[in-house]
Amino acid sequence: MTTQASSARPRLLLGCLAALAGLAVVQQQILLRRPPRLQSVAIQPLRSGAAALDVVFSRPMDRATVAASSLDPDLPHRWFGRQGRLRLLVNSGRPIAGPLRLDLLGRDLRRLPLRSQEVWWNPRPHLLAVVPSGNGERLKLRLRDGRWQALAPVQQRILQIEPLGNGAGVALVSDDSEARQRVLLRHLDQHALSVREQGLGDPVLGSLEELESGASGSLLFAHLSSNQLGELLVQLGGFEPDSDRVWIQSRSQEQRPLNLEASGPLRLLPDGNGLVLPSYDGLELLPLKPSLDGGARQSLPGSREVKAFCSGSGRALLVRHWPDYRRSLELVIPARPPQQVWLGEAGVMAAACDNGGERLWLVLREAGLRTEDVLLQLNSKGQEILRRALGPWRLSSGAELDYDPVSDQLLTVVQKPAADHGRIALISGSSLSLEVLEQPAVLARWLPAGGALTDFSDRPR
Amino acid sequence: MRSFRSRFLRHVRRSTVLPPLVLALWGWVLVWSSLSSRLDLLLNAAFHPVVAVAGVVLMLLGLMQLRLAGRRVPVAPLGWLISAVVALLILLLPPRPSFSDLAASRPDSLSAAPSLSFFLPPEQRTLTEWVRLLRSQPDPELHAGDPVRISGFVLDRPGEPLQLARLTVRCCLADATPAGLPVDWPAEANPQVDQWFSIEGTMVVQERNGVPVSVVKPTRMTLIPRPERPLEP
Repeated sequence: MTTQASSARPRLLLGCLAALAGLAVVQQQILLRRPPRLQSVAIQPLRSGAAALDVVFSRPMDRATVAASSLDPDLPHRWFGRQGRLRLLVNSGRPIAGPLRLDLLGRDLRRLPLRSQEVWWNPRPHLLAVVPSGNGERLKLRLRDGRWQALAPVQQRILQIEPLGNGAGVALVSDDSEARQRVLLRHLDQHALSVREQGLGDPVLGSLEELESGASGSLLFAHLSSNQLGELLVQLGGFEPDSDRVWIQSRSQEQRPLNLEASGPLRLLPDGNGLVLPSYDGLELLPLKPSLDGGARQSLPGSREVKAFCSGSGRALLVRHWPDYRRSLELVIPARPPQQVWLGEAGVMAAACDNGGERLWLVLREAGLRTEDVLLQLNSKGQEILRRALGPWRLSSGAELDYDPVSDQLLTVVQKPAADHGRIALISGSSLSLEVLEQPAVLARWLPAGGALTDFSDRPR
Repeated sequence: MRSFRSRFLRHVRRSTVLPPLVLALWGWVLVWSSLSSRLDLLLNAAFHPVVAVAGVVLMLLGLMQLRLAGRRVPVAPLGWLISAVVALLILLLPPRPSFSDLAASRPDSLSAAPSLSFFLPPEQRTLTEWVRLLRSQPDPELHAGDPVRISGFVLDRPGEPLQLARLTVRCCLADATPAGLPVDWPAEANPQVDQWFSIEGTMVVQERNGVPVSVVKPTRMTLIPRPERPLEP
């Protein structure tokens, strides 16, 4: 009996080993024959061109076969990247007027084909504006059909609006007659990507979050800044010494306090890895994750302020104030000294740059007998390309120049000297032609398209 | 002669001190490799202390066995002898690895580096950091004109122009992953495989195989000796 049991044991062991080996072979053969799958498609805000999509596959792909995918309308585009992560960059040189249809094809490195997948993509941003409403002001979003949708209750006065860089919301700072400032954040659910044309649409309103209620008392100022990760920096300054508070709210709505002493408004870098801190000696560049980025501060002495980030290239536009009351516009390229692209006595009301920092725009105001705002387009070397006087229009107080690479348009708010309210102005980035909308407004910004697609089943979302 | 050799080998194998000496010899190989920087060619620096400690432990075990050697009469298997010869060869012959040969046969799937950002000044990025950044941000126009200051060895991949590369290791050469950057080699340069160069230049965009790619355009090239720690984590 014992002999039989002992001889059966090795046979059982061998049988188990053979079964396991067989299972491994079957699994290997199944995986070997499994075609590549699409894992995710996401809008990439960091780009040199008009629009970009990050496409992630389950297996390393042959880029040349993926590049055979069709784009409708057939705008000039290129595929970059390698292995399973590829990027589609649309650089048409002309405005993108509507949604794009991408028919994704391709083969992986084993020549197994990807199941053809249709992706609809609307890279165009939405227009956000603070509009006069009764006795106050209200933040509104312009829908694709031209109607306006309110995003927050009427406030007495709205001082700043800050769209989240990933398009997932918009924050605002409001104040009342007693200098009580509130910070509100409206979450938005974007529908800029879909597997069906009908799946595209305007952002759907999410919750309205009150980040600062104003109950803590009067504030000297409140300032917001966001990056392309969708993080929001909130900077509050009170009348009392050491009453300043700075925190960052992450995408997952976790708040992290920052211990910073700034002499002006803080600005997050677009790529989400640092911030610009105005100090009494100049501007300082700080990493948000010191352990990963070396932790060293980079300083730029002098009286300077950040006017715009050229988001794709890590470049920025600064205005420098000289002791003789002249101002200069500087293009800052990482690791190089600031490059002066304009110098003069006129006031620099606003400035903007394209993603690569190759085209720069600035609005100048000459103070004289007849105040006139002039819009200039410069190249990165400071050479004037185009100039246009805004005629009877002037930039409203506090208006920014916000560039959208998708439509190649600058957005701002202009006002006639005698008018009560400003109006939204769209300016062509190439021709500088001005279109003034009927809608009265106080502030205006672009809400960038954003979002990712991971569910490729064809059922309605 | 033959019988003398076999008698000698038998005698050595019967020697009671052979196993402890072989243990101590291997211990010394590990300690010496740590002290002489040879491990830098094989292993991530984070693991060097582990190897050195293992060597010391082996030497201590050898010494302990040596003290007990007289009380037993073991007959060492032939493997002990072969092991001792291998250990001596490792001590006597310095390694001369060809990183290019190794890299050419390895997959180049570097781990993603989502934390790497534009914050770091471009000329402070190492070659590996550049490669990781170009993988996560493959749009070459984003990097055009950036200053580059890198060093690496000349890598020859079949069917591709010579690149400047580094080997990254998480643990040891078994998981070595090459990270290579295309270089627009000047006409007068004559780079040879496995030579090490320090290059200063700028990142430019060039069309290669119909696709725009980021390429290092050197303004200054210096032939340098292989660094003491050629592997990057």
